[in-house]
Amino acid sequence: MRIKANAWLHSMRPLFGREYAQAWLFIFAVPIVHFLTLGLQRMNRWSWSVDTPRMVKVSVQNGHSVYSYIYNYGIHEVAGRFWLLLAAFVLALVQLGVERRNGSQELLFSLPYARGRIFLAKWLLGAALFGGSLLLNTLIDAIVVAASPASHYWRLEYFSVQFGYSLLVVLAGYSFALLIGAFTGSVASQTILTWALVAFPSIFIELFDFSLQAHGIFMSRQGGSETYSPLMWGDLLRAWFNFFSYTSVRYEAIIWSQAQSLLVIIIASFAGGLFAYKRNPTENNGKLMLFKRGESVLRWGFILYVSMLAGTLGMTWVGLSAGDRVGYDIGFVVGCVLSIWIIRALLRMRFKY
Amino acid sequence: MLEACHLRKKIDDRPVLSNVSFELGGGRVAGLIGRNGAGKTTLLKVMSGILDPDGGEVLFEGRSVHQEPEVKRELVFIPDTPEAWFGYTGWGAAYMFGQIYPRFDPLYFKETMIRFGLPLDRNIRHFSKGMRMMFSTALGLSTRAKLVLLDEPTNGIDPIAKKQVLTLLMEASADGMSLIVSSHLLEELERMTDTILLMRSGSVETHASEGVADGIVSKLQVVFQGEAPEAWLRSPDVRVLDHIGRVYTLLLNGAPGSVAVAELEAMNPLLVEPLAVRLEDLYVWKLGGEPNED
Repeated sequence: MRIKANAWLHSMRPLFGREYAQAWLFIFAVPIVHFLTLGLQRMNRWSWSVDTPRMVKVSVQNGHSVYSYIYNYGIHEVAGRFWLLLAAFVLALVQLGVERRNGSQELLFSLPYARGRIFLAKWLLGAALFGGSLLLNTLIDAIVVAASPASHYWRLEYFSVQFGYSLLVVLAGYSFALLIGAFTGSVASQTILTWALVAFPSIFIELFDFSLQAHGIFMSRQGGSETYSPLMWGDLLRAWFNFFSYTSVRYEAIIWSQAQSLLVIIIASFAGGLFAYKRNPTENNGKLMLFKRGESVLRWGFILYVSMLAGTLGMTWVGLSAGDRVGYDIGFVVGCVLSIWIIRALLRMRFKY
Repeated sequence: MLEACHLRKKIDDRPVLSNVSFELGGGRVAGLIGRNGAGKTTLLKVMSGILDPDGGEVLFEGRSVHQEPEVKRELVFIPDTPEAWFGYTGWGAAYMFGQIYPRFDPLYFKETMIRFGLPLDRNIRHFSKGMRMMFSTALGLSTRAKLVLLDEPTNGIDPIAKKQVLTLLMEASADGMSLIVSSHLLEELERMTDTILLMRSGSVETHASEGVADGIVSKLQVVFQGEAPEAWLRSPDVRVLDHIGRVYTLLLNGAPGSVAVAELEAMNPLLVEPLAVRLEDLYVWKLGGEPNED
């Protein structure tokens, strides 16, 4: 078993080497910037603190929560997650989008490796990079707290949960970015589509709601503390389908079901990315979408999205006495015509980047 | 060794390869020729597994290149632009290929780079176009793979370097390496290849390089009595290569059933002198009437 694993790793070395050559800057930059967002901030708070351990204890006993007072609510971990997600997006762009442009993909596909292995090498490099950065910086964080006046409140569970949850968030974002890169044909389309799809659930619900309102249908969808009513489906959608709500969650609000959702995103995105990469039609590199079916989904999604947006703008700008509906419908039709024309042209084009 | 079976490939809904089939034996050298945009690069990319065919398969020693990519340890593709190596030095690229190709020969690579006057420790990005092509060729041949596919290996290199590259290819073939070389250098291909793969309208015609046009076309220098027969010269069985004064250089359909030669004899010309038919003549005969397929 061990011999087999060694042989497998040995055969993967050139692929890892190739990925490293493409992404070496990340290998150094990611842990360093991650340290600036997490370890350095914790050092600023505790390493040069004039507080004594007794003063810290008194503060906690006077009603400060351990996690808010000692660990600053976990906001440094949140900042670290956002930085790592940004790095994951750029890394996925370099590994797939840029690679299509500079001929690296053709070199890789001509090598004696199955495409699935090439994709796996990419994912493993990213996972090792982000996992390594999180592990290193969590250790630094833990050491800083252990050596500080707040060492009495050093909690293994805090560091373990933050490490595990952050790893899930970053791997989910990275796997999703690779998935998008596996079916888009250029750097531009990978960039736009990644962010558009991340924002899609929230924006689509808003546009859909405007659309219903313009036609006289009003749905209660948001509750919560602001309206003194129980959470409604709109709140739940916002919580579960907005990736940034997973990223920005603080320590005390982390729950198992969120971690499970992230695990599902990782598995689904990895499997989808692998499937698309194996079938990569190299001749379509440079196009918006690599697959015909993807083109159809993008075409209809774009038309619907733009039409609804134009309808909403029409409702705002065309203040007709006939009411919102006429303004919305005019905007919708104009948006529909324009978007059909635009997407047809875009789908025919080949982009340099 | 290599067998392309009924390959089909469409790009942007345009058929580039339609039912391409041919075989190449071990130790053979094939020249791949055709007009610009005829699909030579597409064919090489399909054979090396970069592109998936819409239909048909490529078998290397009886195993599918697309289903079993590990067979490509003995099949190397050298593209016409080695952009993918930007950021690597010669040594770096050799180190990577050394881990992939079991018979990679670093000593041969080093000697060839020195022979071409290429520095081993300079970033490939800083090489000129010609230097990059020479580096690519040296790297590909150093794998000592059984079959090397080369796309325009003499693209952008000066006449001296061109000669060096062609010599290197001939040495490799003498060592038993099989090559498929896509090129527009017809004279050189005729000299160094055993087989010519002529791409035309998405399909491939296979010709032996020796006596490449035997039974297909004949080349004659002709002086007619009186006025030249314009209608006959424009007929599909005749192509005028050159015309100086009263002397015409013609290609005549030599396939069985063609009456062009008999018609010429019936005109009783003043001079009919047979000339040697070259690969270039076959190229012109087969593809001269076709526009670029770009």
